[in-house]
Amino acid sequence: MPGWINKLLQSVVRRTGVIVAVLWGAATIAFIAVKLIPGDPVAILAGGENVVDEAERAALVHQYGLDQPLAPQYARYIGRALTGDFGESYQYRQPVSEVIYDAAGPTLQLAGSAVVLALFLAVTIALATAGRRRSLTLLSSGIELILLSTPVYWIGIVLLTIFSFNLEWFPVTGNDGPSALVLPAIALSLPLAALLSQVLRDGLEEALSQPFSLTVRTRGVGETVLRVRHGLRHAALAASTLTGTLLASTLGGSILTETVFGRSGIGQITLQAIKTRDMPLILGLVMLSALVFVIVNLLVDAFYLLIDPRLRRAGL
Amino acid sequence: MAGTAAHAASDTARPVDGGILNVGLATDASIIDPSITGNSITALITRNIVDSLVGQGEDNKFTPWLAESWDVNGDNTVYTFHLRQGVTFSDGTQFNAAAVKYNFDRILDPKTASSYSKSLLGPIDKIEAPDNRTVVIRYRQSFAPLLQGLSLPYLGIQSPTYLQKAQSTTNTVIGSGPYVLDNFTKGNGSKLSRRADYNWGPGYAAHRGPAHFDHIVFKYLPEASVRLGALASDQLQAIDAVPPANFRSVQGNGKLQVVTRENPGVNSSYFLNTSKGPFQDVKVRQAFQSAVNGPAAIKAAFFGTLKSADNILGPSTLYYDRDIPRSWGFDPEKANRLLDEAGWSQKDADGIRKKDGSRLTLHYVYDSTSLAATEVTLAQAVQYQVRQAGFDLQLDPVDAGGWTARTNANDYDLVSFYYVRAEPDILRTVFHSAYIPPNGQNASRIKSLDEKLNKAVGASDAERKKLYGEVQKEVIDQAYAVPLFVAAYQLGASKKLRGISWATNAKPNFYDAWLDQ
Repeated sequence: MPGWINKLLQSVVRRTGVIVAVLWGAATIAFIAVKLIPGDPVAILAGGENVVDEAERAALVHQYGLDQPLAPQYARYIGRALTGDFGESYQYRQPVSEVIYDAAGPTLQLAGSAVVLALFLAVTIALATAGRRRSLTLLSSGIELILLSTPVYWIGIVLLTIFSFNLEWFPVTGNDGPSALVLPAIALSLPLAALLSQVLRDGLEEALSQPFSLTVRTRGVGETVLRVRHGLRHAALAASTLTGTLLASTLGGSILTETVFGRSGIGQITLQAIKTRDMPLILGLVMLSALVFVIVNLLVDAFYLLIDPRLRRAGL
Repeated sequence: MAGTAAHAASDTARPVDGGILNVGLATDASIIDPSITGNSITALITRNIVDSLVGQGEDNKFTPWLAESWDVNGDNTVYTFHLRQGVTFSDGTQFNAAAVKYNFDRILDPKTASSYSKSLLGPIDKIEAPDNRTVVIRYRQSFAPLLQGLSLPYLGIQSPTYLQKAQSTTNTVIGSGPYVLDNFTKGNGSKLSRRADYNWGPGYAAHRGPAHFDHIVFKYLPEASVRLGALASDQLQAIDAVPPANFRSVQGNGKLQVVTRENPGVNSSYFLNTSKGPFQDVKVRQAFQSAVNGPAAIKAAFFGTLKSADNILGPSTLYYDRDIPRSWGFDPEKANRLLDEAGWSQKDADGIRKKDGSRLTLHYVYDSTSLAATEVTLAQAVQYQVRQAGFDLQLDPVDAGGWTARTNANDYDLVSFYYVRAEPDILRTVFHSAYIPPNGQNASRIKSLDEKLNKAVGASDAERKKLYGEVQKEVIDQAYAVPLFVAAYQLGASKKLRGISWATNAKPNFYDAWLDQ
C-alpha cells in the first residue's frame, strides 16, 4: 500500500475520532448543565397558565421520562442523540430535529449572505487601503473600530430607522423575500467585515514589505496584480482562521439580528429555548453548534492546504 | 383623502371590504393549536380561525354562535346545546354534534397534554351527541363557569377530519372561523386569508357575513422601537404592548391612536407567602399592605397609563365587589402600629425593624426575563415606600427556571403576577390549595378559601355573587395579596383602523374591523 494512502487513512481515522469526541463531550456537558440549572419542565409543558393537578403532573413527568434516575435518562438521551433524535421540544411540542430544521433555512440565508458580504467588503477595503496614504488607513481603521464596538442590535435599529421607517426602501420584517433580507444581512455583516479587513490589511502590509514583493515589482508586475495575486494569498491564512471563528459567532449575532428584524431562525429558537428551559431543544442546539464548529474547522484546515502549497508537502 | 378620513371619524362610516391588516406582536406563539396551549397570543390569532359554541360580548352577556341556544339545569350539572346548521369547516367538513364531541374528548384525553383547555372544561362526566345538532355535557359536580370557558378560543371547535389526520397540530389549525390560516412560522408570525362563504359570526358582532379584510398578517416584532417605527411608517396598522414611555409619542402623532382595554381577572398583585417567615403573621402582612402607596408608585412607574388596583379582581370581572376599595389602602400610621403590635418594635441603625435579633427582611422573587422594566421600577418604588415603615424589601431577579424553582421550593416571601379572565372562578386558580406550587400559582399558599371556592364553582348566580364577595373580602382583610395595578391590553393603531371590538379576555377582535381609505 503506498505510503500516502496509509497516511490519509490515519488522518481520516484521527479526525473522525476527534469529531466524535467533541460531539460526545458537548452533549454530556450540555446534559449536566441543563440538569444543574434550576427549572421545572412540567411548568413549561403546561404552557402559559401552568395549571396542573397532581395526577396530571405525574402523567406528564412519566410521559417525558423525567421520573427516571439520571443515569438512565443520560443513557437514553445519548443513545437517541446518536441517531439524531433529541426528543420532543417541551415548548413547541414537536420533534427537536423538526424545529431546528425549520429554523435552519432562514438562518442559513441570513448568516450566509452576511458572511459573503463581509468577505467582499473586507477584501475590497483591505486591498484599497493597505500600505496607502496614512490618512486613508487611519480613517478606515477608525470606522472599523467604531463598527466593531457597536452592538449589532443598535446597528440594526439605526439601519431600520433610516432605510425602512424614513426612506421606506426596505420592509421591516420577516422572511418576506430578498428585500427583507438586505438590512439584516448588512447589520450582521458590518462588524464581521470590520474585524476581517483589519486582519487582512495587516497581513497585506506585511506581505508587501517582504523581499519577494520587491522581486515581483522589479519584474514589472503592476501594483494591483501584486496585491491580488501575491499579497492576498499571504494575508488569507490568518483571515481564514478568523473567518472560521467568526462563522461560529454569527450564531450569537443572528440571535440579536433576528430579534430586531422579527425574523424566524436558529437565533430566535435558541433565545426561546434558553428563556423557557426547553431542555431537549437546548441539547439539540448545542449539538448543532458543536457540529458546525467541527465542520468549519475541517473546512478551514482544507482551505489552508489550498492556499499554502508548503503545508501540502508537510503531510496531512 | 384627508377630508374623507376626517368625516369618517363618526361611527356611521361605511365599512370598506378588502385590503391587508398588518399587526405587530411583542410576543411569539410557540404552538398554534389553541386546544393544547394556554398562550394568549395563540388565542389572539386563532380567534379569527376557530369559532366557539357561545360568544361573550363586552358586557359579559352570552350570545349564540355555533350553538343557537342552550339549556342549563338547576344545579349546573347538565348543559344542552342546540347547534347551528349549515356551518362548514374550511376543509369542507360539516360542523355537527359529533365534531363538538370529538374536540372536547380530545382535550380531555391525557395523551393530548392539554392543561389549560382541560381546566376550562372542568370536571366533565361525559359528553353525548344524541343527534346531529344536539350536544349534552354532563358533570360529576356542579360547574357554573362552563359558558365563559366555551366562549374562549381555547375551546374553539376545530375540524375533526383534520384533527384525526394531522400528525402534529402545533403548526396548523383548521376551524370554521372567518379566516383560514395560510401559514404559521415560529419566530415570525402568521398569515390569514378570508373565507368568502363565512356567514355564522358571533351574536355580539356588528355585521353578518364574511370579514372585511382579505388578509390579516401577524408579525412577531419583540423590539418595541421597531414595532413603533413600523406603525408610524404604515408598514403595520396595529401593534400591541405599546411601552408606557412611548404613549405620548404615539398619541402625539396625528395618524395614530392608543386604545387601552383593562384586563378582567386577577389584578397584578404582590402575593404574600403566608406559610413561612414574617408574613405568617397577619399583622405583618396587613402592615405591608398599609405601607404600600400603590397609586403613587404606579403613577411614577407607568407614567399614568395604567390604573392602580383597588381590589384583587379587576373592575370588568363578573362579581367584582365595589365595596372592597374602601376597606384598605395606604396608611403609614397603621403600618407602624401593626408592626409594633406584632413585636417588630425595635429598629436598627438603618431604620429596619428587628425582632429577636433578626431583621424584617423580605425577598421579592421575580423573573427578570419576563417582567417588564417598568414593573421593576414599580418594585423599586415599593421598596422605598415600605422602607419608611421599617421593611427591608430585597429584590431577587432570577430567570424563568429560577422563578419556578424558587416558588416550587417555597423560597420567597412575595411574588407578583396577574391572570386574565372575565370569570371569577379564576380566583380558584390563584387561591385554592390544589394549586399551591408546583401545581399552580397559589403563591400565597393558603388553604382557607377552598370551601368557598369549591362551592362557588357550581352555585346559583346570587349565591356565587355572595361567595365571591366573601373571597375578595378575605383576600384583602387577611392581606394574602397587595393588589397593584389593573393590567391592560394596549393597542397602538392607525386612526384609519375601525371596527375593532374587544373579547372579554381584553384582546382585540378583527372580524368587524376594516381600514378607512
